[in-house]
Amino acid sequence: MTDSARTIESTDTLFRKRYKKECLRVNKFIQWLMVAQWLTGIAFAALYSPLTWIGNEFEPHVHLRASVFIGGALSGFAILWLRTYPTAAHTRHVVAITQMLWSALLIHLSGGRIETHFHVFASLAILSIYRDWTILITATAVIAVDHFVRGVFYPLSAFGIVTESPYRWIEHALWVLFEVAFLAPGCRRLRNEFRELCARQTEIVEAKRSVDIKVEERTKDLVKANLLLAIKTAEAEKMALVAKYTDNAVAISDGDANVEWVNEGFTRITGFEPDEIIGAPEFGFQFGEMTCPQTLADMRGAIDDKQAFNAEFISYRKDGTPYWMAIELRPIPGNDGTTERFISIQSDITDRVEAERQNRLLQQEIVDASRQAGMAEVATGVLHNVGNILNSVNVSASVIRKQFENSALENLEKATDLISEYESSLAEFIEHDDRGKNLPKYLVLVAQSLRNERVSVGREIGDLTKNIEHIKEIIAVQQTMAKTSGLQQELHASEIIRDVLTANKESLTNHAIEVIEEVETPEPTLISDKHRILQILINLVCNAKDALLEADVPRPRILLRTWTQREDVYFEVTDNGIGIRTDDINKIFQHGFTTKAHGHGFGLHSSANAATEIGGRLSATSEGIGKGARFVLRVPVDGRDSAEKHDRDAPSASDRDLSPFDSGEYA
Amino acid sequence: MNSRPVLLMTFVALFAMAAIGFVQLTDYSSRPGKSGQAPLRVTDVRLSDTSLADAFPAPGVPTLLVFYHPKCPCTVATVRVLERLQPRFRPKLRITAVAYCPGDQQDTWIESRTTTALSKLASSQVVVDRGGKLCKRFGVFVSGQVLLYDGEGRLSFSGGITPYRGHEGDSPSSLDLLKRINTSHDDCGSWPVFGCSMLSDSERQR
Repeated sequence: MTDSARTIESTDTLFRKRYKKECLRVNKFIQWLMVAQWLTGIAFAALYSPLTWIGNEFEPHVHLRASVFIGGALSGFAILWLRTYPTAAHTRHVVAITQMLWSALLIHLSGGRIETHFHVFASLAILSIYRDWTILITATAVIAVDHFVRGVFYPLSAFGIVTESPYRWIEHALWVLFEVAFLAPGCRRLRNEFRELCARQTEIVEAKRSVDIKVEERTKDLVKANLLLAIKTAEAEKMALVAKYTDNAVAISDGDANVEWVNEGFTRITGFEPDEIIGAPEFGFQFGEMTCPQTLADMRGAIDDKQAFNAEFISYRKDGTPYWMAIELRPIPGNDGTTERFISIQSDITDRVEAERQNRLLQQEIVDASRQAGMAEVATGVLHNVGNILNSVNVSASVIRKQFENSALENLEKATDLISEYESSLAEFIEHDDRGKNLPKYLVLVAQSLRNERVSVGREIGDLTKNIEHIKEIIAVQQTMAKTSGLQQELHASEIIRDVLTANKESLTNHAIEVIEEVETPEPTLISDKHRILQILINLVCNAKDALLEADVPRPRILLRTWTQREDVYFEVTDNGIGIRTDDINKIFQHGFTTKAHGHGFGLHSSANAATEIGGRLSATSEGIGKGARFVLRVPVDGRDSAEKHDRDAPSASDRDLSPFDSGEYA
Repeated sequence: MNSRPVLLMTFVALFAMAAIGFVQLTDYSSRPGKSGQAPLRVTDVRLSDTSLADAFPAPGVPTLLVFYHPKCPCTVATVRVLERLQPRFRPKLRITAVAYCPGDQQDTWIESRTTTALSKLASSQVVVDRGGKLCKRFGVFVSGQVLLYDGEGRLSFSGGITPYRGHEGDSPSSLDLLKRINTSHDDCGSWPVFGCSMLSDSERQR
């Protein structure tokens, strides 16, 4: 709906409402008028024609009864109709008809007085209060019909007489119409003016509503603005608190870095009061021989270029003492886009700089101490690992020595001595002497023995060579442990287990320790540092052997098992030896902790470190003393990424004092 | 109880009361009274023993006899018609108002505003018709009837001069009266009379 249509509708609604109200007001007047006319009619009758006479006799006049009953009926009818249908259009016509009939009645009651006829015209004027010109037509019609019926029709039809001009009623009607001709346009004009008034009022209401809406919107805007202002004010107050109570020195300067305002922090740091520093150039900084010239030049360049600038340099307080200052310069653009001001935030970082210097010194000391400790640890690790291998080397050497001590070479020398003794008659000696007869067989046996001896010694020498090679690798690894990773190569789990058992073969054999190997099918393969794994597993087997010896169990047994799970290869070393106390299980990977009588507390610690370095983890479980122990080494199938990552991200294992939780898991 | 039928019945009752009342009132107003035949010549009436003995003969002067009941409110209209017609009478006219007075009443009984108004008419006189003797001799039975005798004593007009009972204003009868007063006519104009009965039944029978 358009505004125009809505306005028209509102005008119509208002007009109807107010016209109804106006009608109700007129209705009240008409009701009183009806009562007044009734009383007046009775008074007329009582005054003019109270009695009717026949000779000397009399009785109440017909007019008196007519005034009571006809007048009462007319007024009662009109009042009842007004009360029943107060705002209906037909009510106004009923009033018009009733009022005209009242005129006729009053004319009757007043004896047809000419003056009473004015009641007709007065009634028309009264009816025009309704501002409904149609009821004037109704009134005119009623007057015309009344005059015609009573003046012409009834006398003629009832008595056959004509008591007045047959056209008299037309004359009367025309006179009434004459007045109506003026009243009707007046009614119409009043009605239109009334409607126009409603239209104006509607426009005023609409305008007021529009103004109210604008006022409401404006009020909302003002409330928002006030709220925003309150927020900004609160922020400004907080900013003022920050500026006042911060330990930083805050200075606001013009575009050329001349100080315009400083906070209390500025005074606290520099010692300058605001009135001493306002107008000072270069934010009021005091420079001296300790100030870095390059930094100063950079700051001045930033001021010239209207650029932000952060720096730390030495400035001087009012009393001339130098102090380290961190400065943050920020240009504040003006409305035209140019730098209108600078704000500088300075903080005294002297304590921090000193602390950093002390920290650097301490750091250097720690690094040196760590290097010393690392070197000691490396040395310890080398000795431990090499010592383990040296046991095997010693065993191999002992075997070789025993082999040489029991060598068949002595028998061969006996044979050769005998041959030398009988060199001239060797054939006769072999043919006739009993010893000579057995000499070939003896030589065959010696040869056989030497052949076996060579095989045995060769095998031991092979093991010895491997162990020596392992020692070399350990030393090489330990030498590069801090920074370099071991060789990443494809490994087969069965080969690793075999090498581990080879390294410990003699001791295991000598102590009748049963070794059970379980290799999952298909055989687990991995890419990792072989010697780290060997170092760990040899250490674990060696520990297992020691645990078995300490327990002195009737059937010492070591289980070596390997399998693949997800992206990892697992190596398990389980023994039924002395086991580990529950309280100790959390400490066994700590450096220096050992349960052995002659241990150093380094083996498991270095093994755990080695496991971590190759991206794996070493864990231990034991149900307690006498229950054996189980160690599981988890190694990633492809250890290259983890090794590189470990080398890149983590410090060297040898430099770290690993906690148990860093190095293993416990049950 | 549903008030609508009661309301409707009330409307109908009031409407019917008003309508019937108006019909009765119209009938009352336009119903002419009974009148007798007035003497065509005044000399035909014996007047010597009446209050009109001095009124006739009056050669050359028309006489307008107005018979009225002093208490009849309807006759006021007749008087007002006469008041309005009188200035238009061209010849000299003698107006004689014959006021009915019951035989057992004093002459003061006729004093009323009708009598006062009639006595104020120019060239008028009021005579008392005790017991309705003149009324009966002139055949007048309704108040407000006027008789016009010309200068020669001939009846020129007989009847009422109001359009309805107790209703003043111009009417054909009043205009006819005026015309007959101003110009002589050979015939006699007869018009119905609207008003109270002049005589009681007992007086009429005597």
